[in-house]
Amino acid sequence: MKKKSLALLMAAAMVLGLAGCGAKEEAAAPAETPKTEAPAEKTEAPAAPAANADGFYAGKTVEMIVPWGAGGGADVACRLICAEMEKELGCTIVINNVTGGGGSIGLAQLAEANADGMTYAYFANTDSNGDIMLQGVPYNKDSFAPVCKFAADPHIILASNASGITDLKGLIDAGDGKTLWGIGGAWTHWDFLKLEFQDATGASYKRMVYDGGASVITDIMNGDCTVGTPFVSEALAAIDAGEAVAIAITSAERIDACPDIPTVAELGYEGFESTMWRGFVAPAGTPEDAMREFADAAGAVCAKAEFVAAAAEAGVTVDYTGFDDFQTFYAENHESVKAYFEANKDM
Amino acid sequence: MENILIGFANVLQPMNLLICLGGLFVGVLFGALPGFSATMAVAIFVPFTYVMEPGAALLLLSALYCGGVYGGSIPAVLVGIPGTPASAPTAWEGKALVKKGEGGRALHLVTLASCFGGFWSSIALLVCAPLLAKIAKMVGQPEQMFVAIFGLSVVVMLAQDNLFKGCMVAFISLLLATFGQDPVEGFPRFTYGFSELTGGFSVVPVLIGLFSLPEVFKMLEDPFGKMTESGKVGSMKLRATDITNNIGNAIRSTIWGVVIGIIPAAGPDIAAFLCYNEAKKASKHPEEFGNGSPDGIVAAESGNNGVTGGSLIPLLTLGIPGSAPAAIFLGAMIIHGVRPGPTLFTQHADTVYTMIIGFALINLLMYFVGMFFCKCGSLILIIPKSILATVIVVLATVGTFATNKNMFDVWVMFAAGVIGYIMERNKFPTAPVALALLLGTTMEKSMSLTRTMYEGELHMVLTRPLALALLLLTVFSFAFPLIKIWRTNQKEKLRSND
Repeated sequence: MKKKSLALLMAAAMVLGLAGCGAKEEAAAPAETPKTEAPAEKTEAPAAPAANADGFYAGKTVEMIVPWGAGGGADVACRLICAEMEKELGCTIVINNVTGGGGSIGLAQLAEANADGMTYAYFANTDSNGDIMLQGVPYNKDSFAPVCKFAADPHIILASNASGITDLKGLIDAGDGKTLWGIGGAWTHWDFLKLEFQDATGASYKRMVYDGGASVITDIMNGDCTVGTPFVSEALAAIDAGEAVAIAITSAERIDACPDIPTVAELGYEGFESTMWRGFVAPAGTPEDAMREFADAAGAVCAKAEFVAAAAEAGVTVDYTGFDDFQTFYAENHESVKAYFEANKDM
Repeated sequence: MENILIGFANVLQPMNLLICLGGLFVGVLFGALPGFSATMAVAIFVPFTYVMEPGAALLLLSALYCGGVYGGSIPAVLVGIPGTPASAPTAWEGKALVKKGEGGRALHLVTLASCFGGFWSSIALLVCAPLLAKIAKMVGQPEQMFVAIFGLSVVVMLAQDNLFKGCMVAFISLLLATFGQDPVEGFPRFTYGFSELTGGFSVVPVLIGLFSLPEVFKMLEDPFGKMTESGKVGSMKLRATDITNNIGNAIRSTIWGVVIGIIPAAGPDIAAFLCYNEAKKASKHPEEFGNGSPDGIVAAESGNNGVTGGSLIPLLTLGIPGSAPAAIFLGAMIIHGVRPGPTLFTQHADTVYTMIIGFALINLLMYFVGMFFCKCGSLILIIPKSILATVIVVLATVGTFATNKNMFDVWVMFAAGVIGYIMERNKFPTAPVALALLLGTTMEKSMSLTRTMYEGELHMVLTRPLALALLLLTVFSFAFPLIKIWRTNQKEKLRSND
């Protein structure tokens, strides 16, 4: 009996001790959240002076599903814009990274979520065709209500030093169907960029599918892969190090982060533009007023010069499309991706 | 040299020291809770660094990273649940030492070996980063494939007592690793209509279930006897021989750790298993492994912490992340406008040297923070097992849910626990499951890419020197334990003939 009570006392002491440690941490790093164990963290405490204090979202907590891993391109872009949108909406946005299945697991979770305007998800070019491209995906184009688009990131076409390719002409000459073209994920925008490029130039390349942009760049550096199309933020280190050759950028105009790299369009393929857009969707049936308020907040953030600059530094090119325009954009994009996929799925 | 001094001056500012300490406390906590990993700790704190100076931000993330990799080993020793997969080998040895009443000694060994591995890996980062970065460039897909196969050879060593059962478990687990989308076309396999299986089995839930629940079931077998008992912590003091016997072991494991860290596809978990295996091969007492061998703990811990510095080498010099947390570092550095690559060391010298010097210092501070946590944590052993069993189940459930916020994973965890219990009762080793799940996906991915690269002429892979070297190493690794078994059998035969 005595032993037992002693043990209980010690257990209590331990709990207190741990609580003490917690207190110490907070003192040591006041900038950190005290809620270290919370599974889904807040991006920021609710902004005190809410810009839209009487809006639908004022004082509420919104869940943002990012179907990709924390720290990746999608996640960084979402965290950047959501931190600012919290101030606009006067609410808290909790980012929830639900990974796996090429983004389909997170989107399946959104499709099943309540359509009450409190759940959104990050969305990109090819996601609305998930049910056609990946078997076993429980959602389709109509499971989502498109909200807005906030960014469109160009790719840089890189060639390996070992290949001897130094310009667009060399790249097209090498397009004999055997040259390896690295893809950063099956049926992501990388694949569609390759198809669009082949359509425009008449060249053809052999598809080599990786599990992410970083692996493609590594293999271009060591010469195992010949061509790849990473995003700007991923590619610049390799270009600066002289470990890979930048051929062209896929946006319509040159961008500030790398003004020396020419666009595909200005090298003789006028009108060529292929960017990966990033946007938000809600579950189908979400009240339109709520979605409009959400989209408008994103628009207000995207209009701020300092946000655009901060995003550019993180490799995100801000390009906002509002609620109404995005409805048509979403439908058109769906059809175009679908057409490309159906024409090429037997590759 | 001047930059190094500036780095020192920056790190030693009181605010930065506090950030390092705070980061370590939180990082160790994250590592120690099952389901929460170093990767998660770094990812969650990235947004908080937006308001900080780049140098301070990177110090905080480094502290979280090092603390997280180390922290996983505390529950591994105390209750036999590895906080992260990288602590699984430590769990086997630590559990055995705790049973002998030497839990304190095991914790001290873990802490010392972790700091050793972490510290020297940061020295490697400081002194020869550009040189070592060349390794990263030599490792292509074929090499990654051979690293994975080499890693699988560990199974033979781990399951030496019952090779047949060990290999059978490994084969079935490799099959489990193929569940979900294939790495090339994204075609879902073996999903049986569950959309949750599209991504395959996540490693963490399976490992939590496999390593923690069987312990609980064993406690339940005898509810009135051992359940009311509680364990002993034992002295934290090390023996002199613990240090003298393990210097060589720690140095070898750290070097392995750094090299594995540099290789893009392999992280701390694989380093821990490989170093454990190498230590067992080199040990004079391989029979102690699995029964509370200090050598095993030292090897696994200096190995997995050696990865921390190693994985930053290709990141800082070439912008290639060498592990999952390093990938998040990359994102954070870009946001802070400190872009990795060759220009980093000239344009942002003060930031980068602050980070590297800080990394070394963090690993020294980790000893004190770690010992503090161990002292607090070791009181867990005094809790009667009946209460502890409940706590373990709760922690395992919450930890699993936290990894992906997905109930499906929790069911997987419970199923893995029940299967693990049945396996242990029938003397099937569970360790090969961990290895096969960790390496299966990497192996499949690099194999299919290698096939695309050398279509129709796969033998050309052998013209790559590093790939060939790894292949020979693998053959040796598979053959070594078999030869050893054969030789002991021969000796016994001779003895019986006499």
